[in-house]
Amino acid sequence: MKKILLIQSGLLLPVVFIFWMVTYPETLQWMEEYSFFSTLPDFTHLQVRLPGDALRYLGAFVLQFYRWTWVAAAIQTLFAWIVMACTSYILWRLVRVSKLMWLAFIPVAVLLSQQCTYRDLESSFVWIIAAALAALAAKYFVRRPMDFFEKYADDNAAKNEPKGRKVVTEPKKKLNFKTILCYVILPLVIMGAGCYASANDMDCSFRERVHRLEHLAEEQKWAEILDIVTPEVALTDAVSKRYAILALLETDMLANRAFEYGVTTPDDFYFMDRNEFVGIYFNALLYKALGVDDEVIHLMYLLNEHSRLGFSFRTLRIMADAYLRKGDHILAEKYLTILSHTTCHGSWLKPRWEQLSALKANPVPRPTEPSDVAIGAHGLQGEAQLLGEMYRLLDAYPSNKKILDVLLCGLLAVCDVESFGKYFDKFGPVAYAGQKMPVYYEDGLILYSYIDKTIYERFPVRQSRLNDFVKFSQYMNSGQKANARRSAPNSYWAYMYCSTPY
Amino acid sequence: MNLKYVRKALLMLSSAVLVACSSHPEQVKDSVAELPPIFPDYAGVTIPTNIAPLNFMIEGVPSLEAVFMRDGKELLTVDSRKGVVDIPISKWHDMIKANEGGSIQVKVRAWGGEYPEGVEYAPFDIHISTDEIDGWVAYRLIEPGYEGWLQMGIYQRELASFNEEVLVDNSVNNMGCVNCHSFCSHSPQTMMFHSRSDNGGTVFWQDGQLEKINLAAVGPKKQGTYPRWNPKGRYVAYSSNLTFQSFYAEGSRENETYDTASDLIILDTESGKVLADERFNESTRWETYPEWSPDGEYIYFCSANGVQMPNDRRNLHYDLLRVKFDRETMTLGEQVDTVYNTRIEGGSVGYPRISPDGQYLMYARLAYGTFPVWHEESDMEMVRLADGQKVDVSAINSDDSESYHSWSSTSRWKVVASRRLDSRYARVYIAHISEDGVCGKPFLLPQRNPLHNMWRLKSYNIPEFVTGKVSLPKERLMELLDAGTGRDSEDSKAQRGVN
Repeated sequence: MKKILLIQSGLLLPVVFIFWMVTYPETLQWMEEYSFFSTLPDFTHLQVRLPGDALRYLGAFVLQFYRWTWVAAAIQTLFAWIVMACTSYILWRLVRVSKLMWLAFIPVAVLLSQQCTYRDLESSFVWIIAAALAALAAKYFVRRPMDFFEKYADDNAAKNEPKGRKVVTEPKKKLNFKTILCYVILPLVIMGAGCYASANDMDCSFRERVHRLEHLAEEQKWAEILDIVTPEVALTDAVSKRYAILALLETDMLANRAFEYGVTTPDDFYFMDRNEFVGIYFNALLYKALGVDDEVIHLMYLLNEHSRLGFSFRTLRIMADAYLRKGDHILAEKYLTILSHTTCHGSWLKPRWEQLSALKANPVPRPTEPSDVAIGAHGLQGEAQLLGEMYRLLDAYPSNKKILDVLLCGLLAVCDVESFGKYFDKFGPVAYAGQKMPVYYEDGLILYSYIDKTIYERFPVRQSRLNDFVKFSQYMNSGQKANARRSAPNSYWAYMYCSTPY
Repeated sequence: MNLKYVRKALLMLSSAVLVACSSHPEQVKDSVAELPPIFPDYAGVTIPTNIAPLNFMIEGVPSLEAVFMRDGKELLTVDSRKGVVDIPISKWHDMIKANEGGSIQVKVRAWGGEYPEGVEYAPFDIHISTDEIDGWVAYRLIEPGYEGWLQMGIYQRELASFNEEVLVDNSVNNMGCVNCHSFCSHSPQTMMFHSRSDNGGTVFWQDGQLEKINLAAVGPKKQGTYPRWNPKGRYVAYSSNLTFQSFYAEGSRENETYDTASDLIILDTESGKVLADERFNESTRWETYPEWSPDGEYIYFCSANGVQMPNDRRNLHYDLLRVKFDRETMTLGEQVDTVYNTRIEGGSVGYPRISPDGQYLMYARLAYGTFPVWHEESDMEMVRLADGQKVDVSAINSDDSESYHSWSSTSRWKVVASRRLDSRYARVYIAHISEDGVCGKPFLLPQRNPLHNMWRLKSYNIPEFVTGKVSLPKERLMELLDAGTGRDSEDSKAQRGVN
């Protein structure tokens, strides 16, 4: 048994560990981000009243170590190993046929195929508890086939009267194909099937992709996001599209490339439906990019609702950072202190404590008046919501180029060239002073010049671009839409006249 | 003889242990004339006799010694543990009881922080009132964040200890909302709260029975929001509010909570009849936050001319009005009195509360709008009802929001929710109000570890004094509220005329 278990472990441990490290590293990290565990009494006091308390509490404790992907993969592997070991033991008790021990990998494969769908560890615990209970049942309630023979043989030996039956001893195994098949090939095939089923789970793969984008955005790796989300990918995946647009916004390319990525409405800049964690989190990233930390904090409170513990490591970390940016040292200290009562935040906290000390030494004066700018105000619905917010935000932050870009590109997306022109005229001189004008804005201003003929006096447009528009117009006027599009493939005109129903 | 040696040995051993545990030297190097910067700030507070020990700490100081004295005579000395002066609860109560009606002085010595070799601060007083306070405070704990929550509940805290228990939480209604608890004359036997979930309604606990009524389905079909139980029982006044929230992009405030309509209704808990007087149920005028006079003869409420919200929020000012209530006929009088006129006095009024002895009216005054919780300028104001004169209660107020408050049944204590600690999380403060209206310095609800006030990720909401512990039957609650199985009982429907 021990030898078999060693062989089985030698197969399972590297395969399952590598599977998690390669296939779902971002999902493992996400599991920590949406969990929470603290040694503070209030956490225990309130959480133990929730349904499924004990396993959830235990799961939350273990999940804090998922902060490091390799630890997470090792724990996931441990779950699979426990299930395999318990099943092996049960098989050994029941049949004691070493060539059938590969059957122990079947529940492992089922577990592997399921595990990627678990958002916390409760279900994994149920698996190992069930396996352990079954193994205990096998130990105490199953009479092993060998027990009888051993006892019989011992009795006979004692009497020195061997008769009838012989003690059965297993012959030494020879390393033949059958042995390799049973000990190595079949377990690998079964585990492979489990891994294959898991890797091909559409939901899990989608989540892994989304979490990868989330983590890249957190680390501000915008170029990597744009490498992953090509314009072709963006056209088929609404979540990826938004991350690509965020990356364009952060890299100051929004007004040069947004329509390449299939923007057709201001809704493509964010998630209208904020009532699920992917959308809420993305919106928080967008508002962080726009510099509106109050809305980031608001969205984190909404996100907390989606954590199974009422709040999460991710939201607390983001709120602590947002309060540090805002200069609110009291609330920043509160969240940092709470995180200091968790196990795995030492290195994360260290630079923030320093930031906090600096903030306390030079406190930012607290605002004394409420703003006049409301976000998500009652009564604003539908497509106009984001644009409405950008209008209001621009009043508060007139030099914020990112807010201006979202507003102007949003206005272009809804083909409101007149409003685009007026807003560019009002805010463009500050935001684009001394800078090259983005392509779409040039294109938009060329169209706006039919409304305001003086616009070129304030915002000169390249002659080459004007020539492009003349050529584009000629094609369009002669009904050659395809040629028009080819003549100016990444132009606002191609989007406006060739891609939309407007 | 042997026993004597054993005793001696034990004595020496325990002394050695005590010396080993004491983390500071006997003496301090400095003494200063300042009061110690303790947290919570208990210097000069007035407390009742049945309050939990006022444990405290000094930020960044690992070792403290607190000496409690009366007229120079030492009563109790407590060494800190992990930086917290954790006063033994029975010794505390003995000391407080023995000094009822007087004051004790607390001398604090500290080793650490600015004074690694120790400092002795000027002693501060704690005044021990003879006025009784109710034994429990009930409050809701909820994240102070906007629209969402996962876990929330109404909890009850025994004031004489650190014991906090669940009164009802949202594990009984599939993680829905439980809110707006209201007690009839502070009684743990007669209370109500709303359950907002698929199978929600207003739950009444009376005469040992739990019942549920869906106010939106009876009478004028108006949802009940802010309740107030008539002190004489039977009737409950509600405002029926259509509430929204807007979020600010920056500035001193994150949120504006407001109504776009609100009316006044009164429920007769015996007949199930709902009174919706037309004068207080029309759309141009908004009524909210009802309150009863102690004799149950008058209903007070806040009222404002409706404006376009949220854009005109700065022009929304709630007056305080009152109207007579006839308990026999369940009707409201013709005459409506203005108690607080915002056109003359400015601002806006919320949460009016009259002391049970009928002497004082206290309310939250904010610059505009209806929701003091989010208004950092919201402060308590008090009026003597006999002559309408304002009484100074500035001791209760802070630079942050003071919002929900309630009186003890004895009228001598106030419990107030305040965000003064961090501008976001409301915490519970208790203040003494003497018979002649002198307001004592409020003290933070004691916790075994004072840092609990900082660590807790939930806000205290609607603190209400209760004379005893509320014990709701959980199984019956689950039956009433669980979306899968909950239902209105047939008896209850018949009693209330619910169809």
